[in-house]
Amino acid sequence: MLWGAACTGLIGGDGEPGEDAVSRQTTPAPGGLRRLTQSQYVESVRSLLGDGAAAVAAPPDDAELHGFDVIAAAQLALPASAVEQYEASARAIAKAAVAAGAKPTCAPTVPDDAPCLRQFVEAFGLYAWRRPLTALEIDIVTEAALASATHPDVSSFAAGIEAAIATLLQSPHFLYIVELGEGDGERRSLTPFELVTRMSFFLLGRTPDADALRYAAAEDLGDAEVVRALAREMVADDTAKSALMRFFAARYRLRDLDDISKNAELYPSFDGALGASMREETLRLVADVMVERDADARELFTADYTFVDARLAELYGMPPPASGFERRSLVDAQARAGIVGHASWLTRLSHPATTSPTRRGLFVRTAFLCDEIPPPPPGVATKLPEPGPEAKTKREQLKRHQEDPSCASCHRLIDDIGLALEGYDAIGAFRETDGGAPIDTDSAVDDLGSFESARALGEILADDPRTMQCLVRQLFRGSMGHLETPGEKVNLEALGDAFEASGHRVSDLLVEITASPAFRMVGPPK
Amino acid sequence: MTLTLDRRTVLRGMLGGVGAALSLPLLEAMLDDSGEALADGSELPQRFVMFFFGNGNIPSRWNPSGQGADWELTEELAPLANVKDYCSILSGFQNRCSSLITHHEGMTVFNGYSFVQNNGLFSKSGGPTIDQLIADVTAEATTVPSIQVGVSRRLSVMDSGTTLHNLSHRGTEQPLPPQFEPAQIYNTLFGSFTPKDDASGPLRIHVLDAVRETTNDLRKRVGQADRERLDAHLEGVSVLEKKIKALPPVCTRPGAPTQTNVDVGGVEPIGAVSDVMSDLITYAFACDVTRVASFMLSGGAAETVYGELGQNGAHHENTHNPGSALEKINEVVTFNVARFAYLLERLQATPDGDGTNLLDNSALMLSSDCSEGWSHSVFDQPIIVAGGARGQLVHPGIHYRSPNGENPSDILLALLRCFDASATSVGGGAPMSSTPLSAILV
Repeated sequence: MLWGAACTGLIGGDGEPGEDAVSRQTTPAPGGLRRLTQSQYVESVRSLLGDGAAAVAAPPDDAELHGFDVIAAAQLALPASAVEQYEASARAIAKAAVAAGAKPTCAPTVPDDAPCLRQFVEAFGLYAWRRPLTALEIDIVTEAALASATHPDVSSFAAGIEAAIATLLQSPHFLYIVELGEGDGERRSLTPFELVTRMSFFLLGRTPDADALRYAAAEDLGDAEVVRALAREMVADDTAKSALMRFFAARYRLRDLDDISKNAELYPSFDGALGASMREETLRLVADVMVERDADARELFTADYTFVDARLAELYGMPPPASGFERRSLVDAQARAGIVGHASWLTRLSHPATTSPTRRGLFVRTAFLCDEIPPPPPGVATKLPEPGPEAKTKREQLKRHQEDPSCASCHRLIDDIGLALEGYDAIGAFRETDGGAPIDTDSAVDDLGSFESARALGEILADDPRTMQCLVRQLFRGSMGHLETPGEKVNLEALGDAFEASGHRVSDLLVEITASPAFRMVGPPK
Repeated sequence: MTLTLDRRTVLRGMLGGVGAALSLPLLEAMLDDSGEALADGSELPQRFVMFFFGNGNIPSRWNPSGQGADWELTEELAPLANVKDYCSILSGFQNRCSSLITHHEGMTVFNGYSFVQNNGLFSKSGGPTIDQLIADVTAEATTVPSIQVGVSRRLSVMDSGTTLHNLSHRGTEQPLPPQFEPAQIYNTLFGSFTPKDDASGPLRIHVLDAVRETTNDLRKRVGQADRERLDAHLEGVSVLEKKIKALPPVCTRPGAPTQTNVDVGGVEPIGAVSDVMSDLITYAFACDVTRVASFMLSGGAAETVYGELGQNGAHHENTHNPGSALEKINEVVTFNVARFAYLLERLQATPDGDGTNLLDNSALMLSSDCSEGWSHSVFDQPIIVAGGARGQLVHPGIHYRSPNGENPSDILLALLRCFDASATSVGGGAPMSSTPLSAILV
């Protein structure tokens, strides 16, 4: 990356006139520690030590809170077994890295060449811990490395390097992103290294590289324009797309689509490979709208095309591509549009044998509109009429949700959304009947209006300002690993305005998030 | 003296490379003269298992009609036939969790706290589960404090917190996720031991010391919540250090398991994985590597499809259709009880010195996240207490039906007292108990 070129002429500006007001009204969220997620760990190892080392990296599984792995990583403590996994992983990585030639720039004269080991610890430590090490820290790690280099059974300089890498990668300074800021007030600026690290993990999904760390050391990151310049460089990097795709795979519940099961009699065509194709379809549309075309993000809900492979083409009744994925126009009669008509989430939020208008409706509420829905009231029996002559369709079976006052206040806001999507079965294929009875997809929901298909709902969602506010909120949460706090609210409003002004370009939104005061500051540590 | 395990304990090809019979570490040779403690003065080992399956039972087909010692196995309890004397059926208890989400509240039967941080379909555990309280007592004596076994990977989509996906919790912010692969459990139990002459052991300790030292300064700079997280991390470092320093267990270690937890033709291998996990727990107890296990056969409100039973709809969905799907629900509950029975039988078949077997010297508790799935009721959740706890639990087992909806945390306190006679309470808030259920204690 050519940082110098990117920031020439930008340094020295004091940012937008409105920015100070936002900053003044911001009470940043608490600082503290955020553990690396699985992919952040592996991609950091790749960036630090190469593909061979990344291939043997085996960090523990992620947890999720509120649907975000980064929120769980900011809150939950590790089980002992995870620490053991980190040790095994660090040792394997160190071994692979040394085998692939990881070594210092100095030439060791003896196996226990302490100054040369020290030099390695200092140099590699800077990248691994995303900041310069203190003299004490260099001493501690060098000493562990020397123990290996001088052990009679091992006795080699390379063994010392291996131990140094294993130590640095097992330390909480690598495993946790440290965001404590400078000073001791309620509003602490992240240190330049902390800020560049936060940006890199958010935008690129990995540790900052050497150029970014140099930038942190050399430039004035107190200037929002300087931050924006670096963010633009990062967003333009190929790695940014993978990070964004990982983010949306979690948002739209795509991650385990290849690991769910469907009723084999009703859906013999469904298997893990088809589930994986469904995930790919949605990610390709997200990438097409938000990255390749950098178009208005609302097109995610209105696109009249999609991307299919041969198996999806069969599911949707489209001409199959000769190989791989190709762009196709949607089949008009199925009334789909954008992600709302995608088999991926329609499948994931169905049961194995039947659809679930309730779960689909809940998904639209939470994933597209960021609504929070309370659980069923205490003591309610969730028994509904079972499929039969009296209640063939889901609309008939779910009638109680609409009529029983204890259910209706919430379910009216949920089920009707899903009932409009009953034309898509439990694997998202188009249908006109259910249980032999014709499907009535006419729905009306207080805050959304009337609609009867994925296409109609997609248009409503695209026009509803809450949808794009939700996208802002989700990326904001993902960028820092916490649910927004009241003290950050003004940032979300400003970001929403800027996003709208930019024509809903996600590339601009990503840059603006990193420049927002809430992103650049922390409160006292949690 | 060397004992060998019953031939039935030689695993039926599920664990690779098991040819030789095991020798056990805990033998008469290690007992003191009176046979009431180990030669080093420490207490004879007792083990604990917390066993769970999701989506409840059918109370009318589960609860026995007789009470006290006079009870017969019912349809859903029938798989316990070979170990009936070791089982007490506890019914009619009323869970005191102070708020309700559906399914979440049922999970609190294992900890005696109401769940916390609830937000829509989100919650976290209010405190440590009983297995972790017991592990705090037993951990010093073994190399692995506890293990968390998981079998069905099809977890619920109805929890964005930690309650339904984790059976064991050390605290609100420390769920202990289950390990679903037999190879993972095997590594947790038997990996990381290094032979005495292996140079890597001491060098790894050097590295762990350095990791600890680099954490000291950071620990002082963070806030309370992160300090607790770093302390948990350092506790993990200490557990690993102890394991590296420990001598490999005296018993012959089983070979690494060959059974994997991967769908075969779209069918989850629940029975095979469950049984190999039970075999591993039996080995771990026999070798005294750990004394505490939790066993999550399926998660809270799990989406499991029991393809092995010829079903192709989700069990959770079926439990909301008791009219048409009652027999399918029954089939699954019975299958789940049979998995528990297999574990009990394995423990029973494994000698544990002095004429006793592992089941004599263990306590187990089984429950689910509700009673009947269609109402999510947490009155009368299915509860079985099994094992002898070295003569502390009533034997032969009883059916105790609470006359007045007692607090299930009373059961937790009774179990905890089998391991720590000085324990005076379990849990907090409304579900707290300071009155152990005397009916199951001798």
